Amino acid sequence: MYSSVILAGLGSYTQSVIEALEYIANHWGVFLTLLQTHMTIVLVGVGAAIVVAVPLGIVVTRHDKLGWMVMNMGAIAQTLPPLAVIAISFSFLGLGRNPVILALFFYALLPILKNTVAGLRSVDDSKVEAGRGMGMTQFERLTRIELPLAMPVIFAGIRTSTVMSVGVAYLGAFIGAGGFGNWVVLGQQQLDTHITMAGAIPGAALVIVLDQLFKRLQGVVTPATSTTKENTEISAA
Amino acid sequence: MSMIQFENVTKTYGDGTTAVDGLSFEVKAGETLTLVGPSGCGKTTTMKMINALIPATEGTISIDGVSIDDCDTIELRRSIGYVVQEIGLLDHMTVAENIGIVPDLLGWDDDRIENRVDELLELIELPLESGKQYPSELSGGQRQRVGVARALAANPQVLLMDEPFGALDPITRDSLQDEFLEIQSELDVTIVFVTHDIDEALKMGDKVAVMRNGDIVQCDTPKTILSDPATEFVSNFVGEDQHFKHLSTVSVADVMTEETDPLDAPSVQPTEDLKQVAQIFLGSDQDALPVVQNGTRVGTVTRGQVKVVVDGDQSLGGKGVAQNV
Repeated sequence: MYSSVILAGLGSYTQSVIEALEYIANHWGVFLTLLQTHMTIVLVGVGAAIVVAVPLGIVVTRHDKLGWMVMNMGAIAQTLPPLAVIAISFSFLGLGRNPVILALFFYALLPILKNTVAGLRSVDDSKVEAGRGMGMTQFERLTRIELPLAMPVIFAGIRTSTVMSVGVAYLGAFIGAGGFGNWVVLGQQQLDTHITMAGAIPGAALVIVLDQLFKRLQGVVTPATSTTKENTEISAA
Repeated sequence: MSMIQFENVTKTYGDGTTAVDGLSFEVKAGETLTLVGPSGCGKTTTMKMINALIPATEGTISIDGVSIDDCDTIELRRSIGYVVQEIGLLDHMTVAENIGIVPDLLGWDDDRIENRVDELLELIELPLESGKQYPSELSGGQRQRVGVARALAANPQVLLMDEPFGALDPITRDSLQDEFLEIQSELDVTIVFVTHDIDEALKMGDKVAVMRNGDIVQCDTPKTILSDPATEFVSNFVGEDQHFKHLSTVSVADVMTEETDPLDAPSVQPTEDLKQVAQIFLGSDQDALPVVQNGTRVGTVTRGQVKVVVDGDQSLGGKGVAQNV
């Protein structure tokens, strides 16, 4: 008896997924626009966070006092509710993508910053010392030894930020930025779950695709046999 | 001519500890000096002051007559070969890239680097294909050979070796020491070699500096260190079996009498050291062994000749042997 109820539940669930996919297929043009917008918001926001957080992470590992300040600022940046950032910043950034990108940028900073610091600190001193002994300048030691060896951990941070950002980007719907959030909101307004799901499912898929993409990219950037170490290093971070 | 010279060099750390106290010594061109002593004696500090990894507090260190204070630190380090334990290899670079680091820093073009790397792989007896491998794919002994090759890449006049064989098992260490002595005999390079192992110091050094509390207690040939330790500290450090160790610094060729009549008995080669000969005598009743070189009898070594060395005859020549072992 119970099983038939569960089966019926599963059946309606499968049914609504199918209907959501049908909705996507029927609105393919809109879907592509939403996908493009969503990805643009995520990639620009995370990209900006990388550009800022990685150099900051390098600074943190070189100046104790400055480092302490930077780490705390990074922590504060992440506690800012993205919705609040959007609400405050649209007054000077206007409606559209920019406030969402800013919110996402703040949100993505800390994981990348933290992992950059953890990655650089995990580099064995003896390697850096060997580099000094061979006559590498501080910059050469950073680019040839420290950053390449820290790369798997830094990439883990970038992946974490990207995954979180795909979720945050849904807020764009509230401020006219576009993205899959549009369908989620539309479905709610029309009390139509299929439209909401048509907005939610691609987000989940996007998370998986982007995560795999970065994993591949990481393999290209660090050709050494570092992928096996990756898991332990993430937990250390 | 002295290649490396220390004049009254002192190193005092910020917290007031004196690691090295008024040290003066020289290393002649082409010579190997081993710095040996218990941990905290200042041997590593002494070595690292040569390539300015640790700046000296007082005194002058000169290389080839030029004070290192007058050199650009980065250029100085690139001109000096630096061998550390195998852990100093960079895991994210291939073996070839590791070996080519200093030439690359010096701006050599790719072809020249590639040729040099192949030359060095041959020198350390690794197959050329292993240049494409990563250090983690090699054995500990192979990694350490790569470390030596890397230090030699830019043809340095001076080589600094910081306990290079310390992380290896005794058998690998022994064979790498022999291999390195062979490589070294083909090069014209001045070496400062840090170790805490007195046997290694005696084997590798033309001169051995025994250090304690930031000062050199005795700096002499391995033979003199063994036969005539300057203080009780040195004789304790060398150990109680010093007479036996002494044997390993003398070769068969140093003591044998010439003889050419073929003799059918277990034989030894002139390059073998007396420690090995003594082991043969201990295990047999014979009083003399024929010395054979390339299949031809060249002499005889007797029980009595070994005993003379054990009893401390100082008239025999210096190291010599170890290089040929």
